[in-house]
Amino acid sequence: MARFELLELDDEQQSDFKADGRLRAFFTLKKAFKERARDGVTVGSLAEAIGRDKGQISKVLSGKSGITLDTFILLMCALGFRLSFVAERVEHMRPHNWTAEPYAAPRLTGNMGLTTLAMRTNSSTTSNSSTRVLVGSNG
Amino acid sequence: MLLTKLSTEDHLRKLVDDKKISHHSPGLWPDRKCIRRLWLHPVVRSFSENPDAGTTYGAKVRAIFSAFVAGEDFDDDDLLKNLSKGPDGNIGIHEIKILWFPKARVLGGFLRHGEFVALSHADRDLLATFGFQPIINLVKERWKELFPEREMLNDSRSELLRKFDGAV
Repeated sequence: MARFELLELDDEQQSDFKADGRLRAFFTLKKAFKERARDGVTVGSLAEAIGRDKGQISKVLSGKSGITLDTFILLMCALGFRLSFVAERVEHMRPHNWTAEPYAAPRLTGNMGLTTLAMRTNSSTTSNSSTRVLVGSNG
Repeated sequence: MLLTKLSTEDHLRKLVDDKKISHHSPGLWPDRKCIRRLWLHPVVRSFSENPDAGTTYGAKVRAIFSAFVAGEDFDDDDLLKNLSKGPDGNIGIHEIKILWFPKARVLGGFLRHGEFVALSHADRDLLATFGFQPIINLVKERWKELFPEREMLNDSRSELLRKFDGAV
């Protein structure tokens, strides 16, 4: 069985993964709020539910302000959603069958991302740092 | 709309070959999703890779772009807005809002449903000071250079944001 090799994240990769995670959280919150808004939930009522200022919550929901994990959890709970932190193994991730990506090859940057990591764990030989994965090009 | 000598895909390929645009292809995860296209003018590409505000901000810009491409819900004034006011209102220019601080705008237009061409960017505070007209003029000019025989697509936001279907 191939050993998993930890990826040492450089500054750019760290920033990219943090931004990716935070944005996923934002869209999750946004989606939850929109669903409940159809049932009459307002920014004001949501803020009141967790004892926060309406203006602050409005900024969070509009993306003008960041949010702590605690506040994120409270907002989701108040909206009636239980968060489920299910971790997905990168080695189990597979490209989608369909993609809108044009014929042009994906942008190759110094940020290898975990795409390369997936290759490392599936490969019988150790990959070097220049390994790249081209995914999903249209025919 | 006039018929072009080249198909849209051929024309886009030529623009890419001439380095006039490039596609934002998210590369963080192996199962990355791409249901919309996002073309970047070199100026916008540079902004996303090396903004003056630093590495962290660049990552936020790229994350927004990746979320757009992945099909997240951008049918929201907080994320994407049609510039509908002024003499150039409703000609199809849209702004993608970069969340968090500092707040920038990326402007461009839809070439086809699910396909956005980002042509310029500006800081929100500067836009508030100088108005939108200078950047609107720039976006119009760049669009004309890239797509002389096409107008920006003008449709409801939900229609513009639907999955790219490769229409002619």
